[in-house]
Amino acid sequence: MSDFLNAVPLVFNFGTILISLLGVVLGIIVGALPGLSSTMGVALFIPITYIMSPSTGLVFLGAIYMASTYGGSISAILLNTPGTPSAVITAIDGYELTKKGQSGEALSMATIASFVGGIISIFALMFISPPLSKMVIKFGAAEMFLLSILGLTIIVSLSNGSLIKGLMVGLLGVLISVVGIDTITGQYRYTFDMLPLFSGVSIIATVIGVYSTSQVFKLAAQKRTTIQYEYDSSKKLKIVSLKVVMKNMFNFVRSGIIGTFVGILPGAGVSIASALAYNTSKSTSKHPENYGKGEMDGLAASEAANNAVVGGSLVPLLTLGIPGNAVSGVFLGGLIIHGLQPGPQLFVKHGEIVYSLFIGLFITTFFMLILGIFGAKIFAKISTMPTNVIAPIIMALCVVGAFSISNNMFNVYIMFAFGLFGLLLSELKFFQAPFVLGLILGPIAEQEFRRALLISKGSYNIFISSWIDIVLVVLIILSLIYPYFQNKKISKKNC
Amino acid sequence: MKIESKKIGMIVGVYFISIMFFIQSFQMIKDSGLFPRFVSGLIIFLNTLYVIEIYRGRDVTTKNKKDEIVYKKLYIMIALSVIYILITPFLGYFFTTIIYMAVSMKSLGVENNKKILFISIVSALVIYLCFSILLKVHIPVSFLGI
Repeated sequence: MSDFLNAVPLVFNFGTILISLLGVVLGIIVGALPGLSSTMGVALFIPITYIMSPSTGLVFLGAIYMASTYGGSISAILLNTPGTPSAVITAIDGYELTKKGQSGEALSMATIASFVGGIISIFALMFISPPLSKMVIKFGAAEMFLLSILGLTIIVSLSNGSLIKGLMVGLLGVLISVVGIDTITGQYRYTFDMLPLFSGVSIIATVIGVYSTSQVFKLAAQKRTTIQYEYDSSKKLKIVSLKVVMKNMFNFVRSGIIGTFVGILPGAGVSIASALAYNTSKSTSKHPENYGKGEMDGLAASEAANNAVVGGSLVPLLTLGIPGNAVSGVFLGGLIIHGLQPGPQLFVKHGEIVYSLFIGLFITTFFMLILGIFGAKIFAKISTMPTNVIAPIIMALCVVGAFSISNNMFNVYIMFAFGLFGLLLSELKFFQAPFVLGLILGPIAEQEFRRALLISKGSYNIFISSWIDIVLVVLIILSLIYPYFQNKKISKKNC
Repeated sequence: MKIESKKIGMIVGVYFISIMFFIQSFQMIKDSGLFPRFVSGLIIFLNTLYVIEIYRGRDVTTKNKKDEIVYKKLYIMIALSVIYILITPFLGYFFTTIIYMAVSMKSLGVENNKKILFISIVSALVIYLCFSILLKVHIPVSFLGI
C-alpha cells in the first residue's frame, strides 16, 4: 500500500500527465499507420525515455503500447486496412459497418471496448499478478500448440460460405509461414537462396499487402465515389448509443478476461486473443448470422480482447521476467535501461515505480477513451472522402510501411505481390482473415508441436497429459462442431 | 477478366505452389519437411474439392452491385503502382510519391489540377515528416538525400 501511495505523486504531476497524453497520441498514430506495429512503436521511443525519470519513461512506453494496440482498429474500421496484424479480426465487422455509414458508431464502440478491455487487464496486473504468473508456468509446448489450434479453429466459423475455401486459404497462410530458417533444425526452407527470405516472409508486409494494398486497388476501381454505400452529407455522423454499450457489457468483460489470459501466455499473441473472443461472442450470440456483415458485438469482442492483452502480457514480464509477446520483450529493454530488473524482486526493490506504471496505464486508457470518443466523428469523415483521393494516399502509406519493416524494398515487393493475391481472394469471395490467421498462428503451432514431441520423445500422449490439455482439446472439438449446429439452426430459422 | 478465368488461375496457382512445396519437403533434413508436407498435402486435397465444387456449380460468386468495380481503372492503378515501387529506390520516396499521387488522382478522375497538386504535395510532406522526422523511420531516399 505504501508503494502505491508513493507512486501517486510520481504520476500525478503536470509533466508525467502531459507525457502520458503525448504517448497516447503517438501510439494511436503508430497503430493506425500500416506497417508500424506496437513493437516498433515502443522500440522507436525507448531512446527518448533516457532523458526521463524511470517512472515517467515507463508511463510513456506503456501509453504507446496501449494506444498503438487500439490505434490499429481505426484504419481497420475505416479503410479495411488494419494498422497492426492484431486488428485483422476488427476489420471483419468494422469495415462492413463503415460501408453501411456507421463508422462513427463503430469507432466509438471500438474505443469503449478497448477501454474496458484495457482496464480489466490493468486490474489483473495490479491485483492478481502472482497467481496468474504461476499459471503461466503450467503452459508448456503441448498447451501452447493446442491453444494455437484453438485460435485457428476460428477459420471454421469465419467460413460461412464455404468451409473448403476458408480452410484452403487458412492453410495457404500456414504454408507461407514455413518459408525461412527452421528454428529447430536450422534447415533453410523454400528460401530459393534469396537472402531476404532467410528470416521468412514478413507477416507485416503480407498483412499490408493482403488487406491494405488490395484495398487500394478496390477503392480506386470501385464505381461509387465514397467508402460508404450511400453518403448523405446532410446526415450527421453518430456515435454508439449507451443502450448498445450497456448491452455489450458482458461481452466486454468476457472478451477482456480472454484477452488478459491469452496475453499472459508467452508467445500466444494478440491475434489468438481477438480470434478467441470473436469466436466466443459469435457462438453465444442470438444472431450469429450477422457476424461478418457488420455486427457491433463482434467488433466489441475483438477490440476488448486486443487491449486486454496489453496488461496481460506485462504480468509474466514484471513478476517473472518473462516477456509475454514481442512488444513486452521490447518493453523489457525499456525497464533494463532504467536499471530495473524484472522478476519477483522488482516489486520489493522498486515497488513505487511499478505502481506508477500501473497508475499511468489507467490514465492512458482514460486519455484513449476521451480522444477516441471525441475523435470518432472526425476520424469517421475519412469514410466520406472521395476514394480516388484516398486510394493513392493509402498506397503511399503501404510503401513506406512495408519499407520500414527492415529498410529494404524486398518487403515492398512482397507487399505488392500479396496485394494482388488479396485482390484475387476478394474477387473470388475468399475470406482474407483466415489467410492472415494461418500466417500468424502457423509457426506457433508447428514449433510448439515439434517441441512437445521432442520433450515427450515422440509420444503423442503429451497432448492429453494434463487437465489444461483436456480442457483445450474439448474446446477445440466444440469450436469445430458448434458452427455446424449453429448454421443448421440458422437455416431452420430462415425456413 | 472473367470470373471463370480467375478461378482457373487460382486453382492452377494453388496447385503449382502446393505441389512445389510438397515435392521440396522431401529434400529437407530430419523432420523439417514434415509440417510443410502435411500442410501442402492438405491444400492439394482441398483444392481438388474446390474444383469439384466449381464443376458441380456450387461455388457461386455473386457480387454486391454496390461493390462493382471498373476494370479499366483497376488495371491503370495496378500499372501505376508497379511503376511507383520500381522508381522509388532511384528517385527517392518523397518525389516519387508526389508524382505517383498526382498521376493516380488524375487517372482516377479528379479534375481540379490545383487540388491534385495540393493534396499530392501536402500528403507526401506529411507522410515524410511523420515517418522520417517524428518517428525516425528510414524511408527510401534519392541522391539528393530526401
